[in-house]
Amino acid sequence: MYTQPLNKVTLALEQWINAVVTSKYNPLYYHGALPQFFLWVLFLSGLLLFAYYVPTIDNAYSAEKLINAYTTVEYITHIPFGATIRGIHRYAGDAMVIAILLHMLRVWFTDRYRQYRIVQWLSGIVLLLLVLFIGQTGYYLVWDERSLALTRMTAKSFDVLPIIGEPLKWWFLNGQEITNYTLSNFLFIHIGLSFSLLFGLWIHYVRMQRPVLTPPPVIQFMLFALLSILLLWYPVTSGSMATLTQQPTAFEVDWFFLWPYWLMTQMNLQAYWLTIVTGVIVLCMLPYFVHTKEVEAAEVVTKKCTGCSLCSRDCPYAAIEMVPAPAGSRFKLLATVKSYRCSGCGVCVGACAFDAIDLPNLLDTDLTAKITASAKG
Amino acid sequence: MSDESTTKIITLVCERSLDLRAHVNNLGQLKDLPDVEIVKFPCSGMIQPLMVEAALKSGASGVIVCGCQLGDCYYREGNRMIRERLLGQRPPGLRKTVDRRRVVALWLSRPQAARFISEAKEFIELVSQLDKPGTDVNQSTKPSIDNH
Amino acid sequence: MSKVLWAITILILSTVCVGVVVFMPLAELGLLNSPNSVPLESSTWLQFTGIQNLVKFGRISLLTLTHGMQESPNFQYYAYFFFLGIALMLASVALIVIGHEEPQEKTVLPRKK
Ligand code: SF4
Ligand code: SF4
Repeated sequence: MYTQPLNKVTLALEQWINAVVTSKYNPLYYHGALPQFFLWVLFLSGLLLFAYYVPTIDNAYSAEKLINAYTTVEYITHIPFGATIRGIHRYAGDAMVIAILLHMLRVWFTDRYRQYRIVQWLSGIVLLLLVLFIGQTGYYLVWDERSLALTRMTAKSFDVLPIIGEPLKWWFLNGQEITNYTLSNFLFIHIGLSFSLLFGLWIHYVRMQRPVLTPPPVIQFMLFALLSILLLWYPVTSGSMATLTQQPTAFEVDWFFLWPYWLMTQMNLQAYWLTIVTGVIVLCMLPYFVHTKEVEAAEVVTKKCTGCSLCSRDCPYAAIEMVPAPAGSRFKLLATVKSYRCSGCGVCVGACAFDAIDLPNLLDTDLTAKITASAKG
Repeated sequence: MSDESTTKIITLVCERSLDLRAHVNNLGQLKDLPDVEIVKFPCSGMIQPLMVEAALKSGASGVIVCGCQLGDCYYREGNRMIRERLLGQRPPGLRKTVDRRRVVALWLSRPQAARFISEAKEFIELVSQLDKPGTDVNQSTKPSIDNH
Repeated sequence: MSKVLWAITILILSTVCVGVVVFMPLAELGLLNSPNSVPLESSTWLQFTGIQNLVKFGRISLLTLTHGMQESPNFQYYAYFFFLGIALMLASVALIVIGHEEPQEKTVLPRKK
C-alpha cells in the first residue's frame, strides 16, 4: 500500500508522544475531536461578537454618529476583553483549519479514509470547503480595506464562471453592487453556514457508533491555553475603514483562510477556478486511486441469532440493525448487517456469545480450532 | 498438559498492531520462544472470550491478548471492546472459573515487538510458577494491578 | 519511590496555579497598566507585600517579551488572557501528573474472589 511509509512516520510520532504523555492524553488519538472543540470555541466567542456587530457599510443611522460594521468592530476592540474575544475568535478559526488538516493527514497516512469510510471522507471535504468559506466571510465582516479588496476579488472571480457566475455574484453581493445589503448577506452567510456545519457533521458522524466528540479536559485546557498565550504576541488588527471609492492594493494574508486570494493574484481567473476544481476533484478521488480487495461483510446465521443485540451495540460503524424476527422465530429480534457500512473488522464476532455472526472469509470456528490445536500441540 | 516441561502460551494478536513477521517461524511460533504460539486476527475486537477459554481448556498455560495502543484502533473501537470484555465490563465476559492470572492483555503498536517479547518472557515466568505442582494455586505470585 | 518528589512537584504546581489565579484579577483591574490606579488602602498593602514590584516586574518582562505591545491600549486584557493561559497550562500539567497511571500498555485482569 502506498501509504505504508507515511503510516510508519505517524506510528513513530505517536509512540514518541505516548512515551511522554501516555496514550490517554495523546492528542493524535483525538484528532477528530480537535476541530469539534474549536468549533464550540468559535460558536461561543462568535456569539459574544455578534452582540455588538452592526452589518452596514455606511452610516445607516445618523450623519454625526457613524455606526457601521467597521466602527462596531473598532468598538468591540476597545471595550474590556473585546479585543481578546476577537482574537480568540480569529485564532480559533486558524487553529480549526490546522486541526482539520491534521485530522485529514492522519486518516490519510493511516489509510483510514477509503471503502466503508467513504462517506466520512467526502463529507469531510465538503466540511473543509465550508469552513474555509465561512472563515473568509469572517474577514469580509470586519469591513476594513482588506475586506473590500476580498469582496471585490470574489465578485470578480465569479464573473468568469459561465452560466452560474452571474447569479452567484448577485447572491454574494445581494444585489448588483456593494451596498448595505451586501454586508447583512455576509453576516447571514457567516452565521447561517456555521450552523449548516452541524448538519454536515451529522452526516460525517452518522456511520460511526459513539464518535469521539470531545478531547479530554486536559487537552482542552492546553489548546485554549495556547490560544490565550498566543494572543499576547499577535493581537488582532484591522486596517483602516473601507471606502468604496478607493481600491486598496495590498493587505496581510492569513494563510489558513485567504490562500485562495493569493492564488488569484498568481494566475488568471480561469486558471484559478480550474486549479480549485481540479484540487477538490483529486481530493474526492483519492480513495479510488488505491485498489485493495473488497471488504467481505459480516453475515448473520439466521437460525442461531437470539436477537440479543450485543453485536449491534458494539459494531463501531453502526452497521448492524436489529429488525423484528421473521414469523415463527422463538426470538423477538434478528440482527441484520448493512453490508455497505461493514468494515469486516469482526468486532461483532467477538461480541456474539452464540456464534451467530461470521466473517465469511475467516470463520470463528476455524480460528477456535486453530487455537485449540496449537494449545494441544 | 501434553508435556510437563513446556509452558504453552497462546497469543491472540491483531494483525494491525504488532508486526511480528520478523520474529515468527512458519509454524506460527516465536523464534526465540517456541512455546509462544501466534494466532492472528483482523482486529483484537474479534477475539471472543470463548476463544480464551477454549485455549486454556485445551491445555494452554496462558493467553496473551494483543491489540493496538488504546485510543488507536484501525477499526475505531476493537481494542477497547475486548479490553472491557476481559475485564468483565461488557458482555460477553469470561466465565467465573477462568483463572484470571493466566490471561494478560497488551496494547502495543506496530514497532513495539521488542516490548512484546520481554513481556511474553515475563508472562511465561509467571505462568510456569502457577503450573508448578504443589504451589498454592490461590496465592497470587504477583500483585495484580487493578485497571478500572 | 518517587512519591515524595511527585507530591512536591504537585504542591509547587498548585501553589503557582493559585498564585496565578490571584494575580489575574490584578490584571483585570488594570493594575498591570498603571500601578497608580490602585485604591490607596490596598496600595499600602501591595507595597508592604511587595506585590506591586512583582506586578511592575511582570509587566516589564512581558513587554520586553512582546515588543510592539507598548502601544496597545488593551494590554491588561491580553495580559489577563496570558495568565489565564499559563494557569490552564499549569493546571493541565498538574492534572497529567496527578492522574498519571502506569502507561496503559498492559492490562492484568483483576482476580475474582
Ligand atoms: S450478538 Fe449474535 S445472537 Fe446477539 S443479536 Fe448479534 S448475531 Fe444475534
Ligand atoms: S464486521 Fe461486524 S462489527 Fe465490524 S463493521 Fe461489520 S458488522 Fe460491524
